[in-house]
Amino acid sequence: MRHLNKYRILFFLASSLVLYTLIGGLTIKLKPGISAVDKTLINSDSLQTVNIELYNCPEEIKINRLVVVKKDLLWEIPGKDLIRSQNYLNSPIKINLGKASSGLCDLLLEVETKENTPSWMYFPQAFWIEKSNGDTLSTGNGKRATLKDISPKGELKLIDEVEFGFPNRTILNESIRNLLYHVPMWFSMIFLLGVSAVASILYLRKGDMFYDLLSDSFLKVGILNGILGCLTGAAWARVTWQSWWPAEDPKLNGVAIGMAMYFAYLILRSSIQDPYQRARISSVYSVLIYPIFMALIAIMPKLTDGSLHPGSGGSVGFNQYDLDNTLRMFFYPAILGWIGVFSWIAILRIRIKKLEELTLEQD
Amino acid sequence: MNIFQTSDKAAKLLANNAKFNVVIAVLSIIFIGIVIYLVKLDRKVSKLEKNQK
Repeated sequence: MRHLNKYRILFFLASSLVLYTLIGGLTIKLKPGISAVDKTLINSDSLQTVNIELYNCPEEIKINRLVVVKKDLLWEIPGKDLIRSQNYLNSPIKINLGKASSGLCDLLLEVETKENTPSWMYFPQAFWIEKSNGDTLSTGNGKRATLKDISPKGELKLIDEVEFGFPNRTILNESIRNLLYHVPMWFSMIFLLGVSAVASILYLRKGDMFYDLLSDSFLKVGILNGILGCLTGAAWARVTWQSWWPAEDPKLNGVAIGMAMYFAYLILRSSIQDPYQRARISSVYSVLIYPIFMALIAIMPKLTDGSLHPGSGGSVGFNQYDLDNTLRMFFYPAILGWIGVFSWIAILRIRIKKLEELTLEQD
Repeated sequence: MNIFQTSDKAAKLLANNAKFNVVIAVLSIIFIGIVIYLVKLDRKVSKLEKNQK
């Protein structure tokens, strides 16, 4: 047991958590869901066919009916009219808007799983319904009702609450697994930079050079985390938001400014020769920029509605629609695991730097 | 019934697979980043070893 020092215990614990989330995150199936609809626009008062692509939806799952929802107007298409061919569902749709105005509508599929529990598959903003000339003359064939009114079997649940697997979200689909790898980079960065800021305060109070080393090491690994977060986020954004760096997102702008401030720290630190002066100035700078950075990435996006990330504007970051229980089972261990692994790397750097100082003193 | 066109099908399946590929891309980026940093640390250790001799 001589080789099992406390740092290695940290590394073993943290890396086994990461391994657990890697295996789970790559093997657990997505829940069944609607992945695409082949129409973007539908004309009112004419019969049209819409192809709906289902994802991970085995044949055992029975499809009861399709409901088109536009605010408080509903159109039902009974299950006997829907033609299923493997992963595709072909549905005739005849919508008459009547006096209602044209607009976006959502799709809901009522499905029955193996246990005969009915639940909804939800596809938001499926297509636009455009008004035709004859519309205003008729009353329209939409039912003015809420979903509860049309489910006589009692309250219907979303498929997320019934099936096991990761939630199947529009746009995200399989890439929802990235939540376990991209997001922990940022949590880990916030943690490491926080440790660095606290260590800087301790250095300024006590003047012990160890705290300077602690602050510097955690900050540098925190920057590594930030770079990884930016790169992984860019790859993810390219696939889902169709842009490497959607600049209208205040969160991304905040991160860009914050990373620039931390790069300035690196330049500042390397430009001062005297170790005590270097420690003092870089500590002051590190304490100063941490709250600014936090404000830029955590508070500013909350104050505007422009961010594409969940949890901006008035919305809550971790509400029940973003994270379901299966994903939670892996998300929290992933955060702990990655924080542990990156802290271990930072401690490794401290130990090497300490040795370096020792050998310099010997010379 | 030929309402389901195969080319369409393939294109959509490809789109879903591409979204899985981005998970692999993200994991590769993280792995490469950690390896680059560890190699840098390894260089520091090598330097120390040289000084010991």
